[in-house]
Amino acid sequence: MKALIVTDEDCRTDGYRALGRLTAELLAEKGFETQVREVGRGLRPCMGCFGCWVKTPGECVIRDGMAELDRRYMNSDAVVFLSPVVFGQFSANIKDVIDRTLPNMLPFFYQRPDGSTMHPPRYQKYPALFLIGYGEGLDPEEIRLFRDITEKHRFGVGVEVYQGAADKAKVKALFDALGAGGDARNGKEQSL
Amino acid sequence: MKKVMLICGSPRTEEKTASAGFLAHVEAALKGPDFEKRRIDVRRSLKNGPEAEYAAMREADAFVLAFPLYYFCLPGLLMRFLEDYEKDCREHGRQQKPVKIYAVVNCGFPEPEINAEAVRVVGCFSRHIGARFRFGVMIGGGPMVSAAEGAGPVKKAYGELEKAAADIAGDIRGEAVPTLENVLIRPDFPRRLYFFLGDMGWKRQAKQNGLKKADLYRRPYQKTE
Repeated sequence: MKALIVTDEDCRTDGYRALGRLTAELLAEKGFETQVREVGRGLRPCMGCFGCWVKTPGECVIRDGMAELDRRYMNSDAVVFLSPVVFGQFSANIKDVIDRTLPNMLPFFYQRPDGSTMHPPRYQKYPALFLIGYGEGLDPEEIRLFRDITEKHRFGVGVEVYQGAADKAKVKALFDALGAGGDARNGKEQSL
Repeated sequence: MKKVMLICGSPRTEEKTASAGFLAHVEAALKGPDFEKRRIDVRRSLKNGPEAEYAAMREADAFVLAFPLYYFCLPGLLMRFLEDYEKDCREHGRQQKPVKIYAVVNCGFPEPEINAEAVRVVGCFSRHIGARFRFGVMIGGGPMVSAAEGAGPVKKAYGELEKAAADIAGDIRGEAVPTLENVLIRPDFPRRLYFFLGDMGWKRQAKQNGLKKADLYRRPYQKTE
């Protein structure tokens, strides 16, 4: 089983380091072979060209390290984003990666059972997904907003926000949903 | 004289984006000698170095941020611009005046409600720089509303946008506006038609690029182990 942890190279606080170590340790305990990718300004932002849908379907047209990261993403059983919470959402470095996972979805629209619109999945199976925010001195609205952004429009995603020292029991509880096969949270709907 | 920064946060490289088009309607409402307007294109600004734009923003009375919704929040490119602006404010001092901030957000899906969290992000950003967030304009089906400008089914949407733009102008002037609630703008299309036209558009673009319909479903990263 493979896991991918995506982190922000611009925000190496003590809290982040502890959270990163804990996450890697807990995934190793679950039997995952884990790769950590620190991302930063070296990756270019999505330019909204939709080339990944209508020119090179499934692949971003920007030739930098993102294609390799997207391949690793789709070939993982679990993916964890550790993101600083900035203005209640993902940091720019992490959001650039999230925006550029668009090739993993199809263009087109469909209506989900709750009535909302979504793009259909390109693949039959997606990794179990965890979106973890961290920061210091976050106000309650920022924490609530990070949760709303990550949970309100997605199904079956593990979400948590940490401040200060990461609590091992809390992080463990998040990953406990991962079954022996590593895909307890997985489903056809699973996408960013 | 109110200094207004009209900030376009679309990551797209074309000049005529949906966000730029909606922002132009706000710009048109800021008429007369009361306003000194400056347009900022976030992509170009980050490419060339945003120092001059940041200096102008620190002295502004109002920002109007127009951008597309990416993955239910702000595009990475716009986050970079705002994160760096906040750091710049910490170095050079906060806003010189009590700046008012407005958000004009459009999404590719027809339901405008999904822009709500992005509007709240702009609210959080406002608090971080000591500004006053006022309200957001949330537009559903943005690219289609923009492409169909002037056509019957979007006339109502543009009427609502112009009313919201007039409220932004009045609020910047300091006039009492009827409400500071977020404005929802929903395209007047049946959803099935919206989906059908959208899907046709993707297929047409693929064909123009020499692809067949089946190519759209490629799985280049299909799990290999």
